Amino acid sequence: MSDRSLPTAPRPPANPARASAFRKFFLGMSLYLVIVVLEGVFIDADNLSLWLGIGLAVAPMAAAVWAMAHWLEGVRTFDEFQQKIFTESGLIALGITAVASFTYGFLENFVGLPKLSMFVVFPFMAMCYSLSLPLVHRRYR
Amino acid sequence: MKNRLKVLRAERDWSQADLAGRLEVSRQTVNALETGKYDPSLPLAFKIGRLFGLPIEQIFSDEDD
Repeated sequence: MSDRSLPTAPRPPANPARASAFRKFFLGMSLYLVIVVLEGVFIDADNLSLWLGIGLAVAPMAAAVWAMAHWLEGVRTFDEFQQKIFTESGLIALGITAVASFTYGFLENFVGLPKLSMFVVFPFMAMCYSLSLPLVHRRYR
Repeated sequence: MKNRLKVLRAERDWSQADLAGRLEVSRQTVNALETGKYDPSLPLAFKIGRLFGLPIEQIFSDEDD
C-alpha cells in the first residue's frame, strides 16, 4: 500500500488570507497608536465641549475595533486544533485577569491599596495570554 | 479515542508534514491527533477517512473498544 510513487506531497499552502488579516490588524493597531499620540500632543482635553471630548476620546477605539475584527479573521484561518489552543489560552488569561482584578478591587476597598486605572486591565490580560499560550502549546506537544 | 493514523501514514511512507499538507492542517495538529491528545471534529474525521479511503470507524475507535 506504499505511496512512494506520488509526487511531492502538498505542503500546507502559504495562507494569503491569514497574512492579509494580520497585516490589517497591525495596520489598525498602528493607526490606533498614531491617533492616541496625535491627540495627546495636539488636543487640550480641558477646553473641549462634552460631545467633542467624547468623540475624540473614543476615536482611537474605531481603529482598535477594526484591528480586532481582523485579528479574529486571522485566527479563523488557523485549523481547529490551533484554534482550540488559542481559545484555551484566552480562557486561562481571562480567568486569571478576572481573579486578579477582583482581588485587587477588594483590596482597594478594604485595605486602601492605591487606585489603579482601568487601562491596566487589558495589558495585564495580554501578558497572561502571552504566558498561557506557550504553556497550553506545550501540553499538547 | 484511539486511532490508526500513525500506522496508516507509515504504510504510505508519508511524513507528518505530508499528511498535514493533504489534510490542510498544521503538522502540530497531525502530531496531536496521532498521540491521541486531540480528537478531531467530525468534518476533519471524514476528511481523514476520505484521504485514506476508509470509513471513520476503521480509523478511530473508542478507548473502551
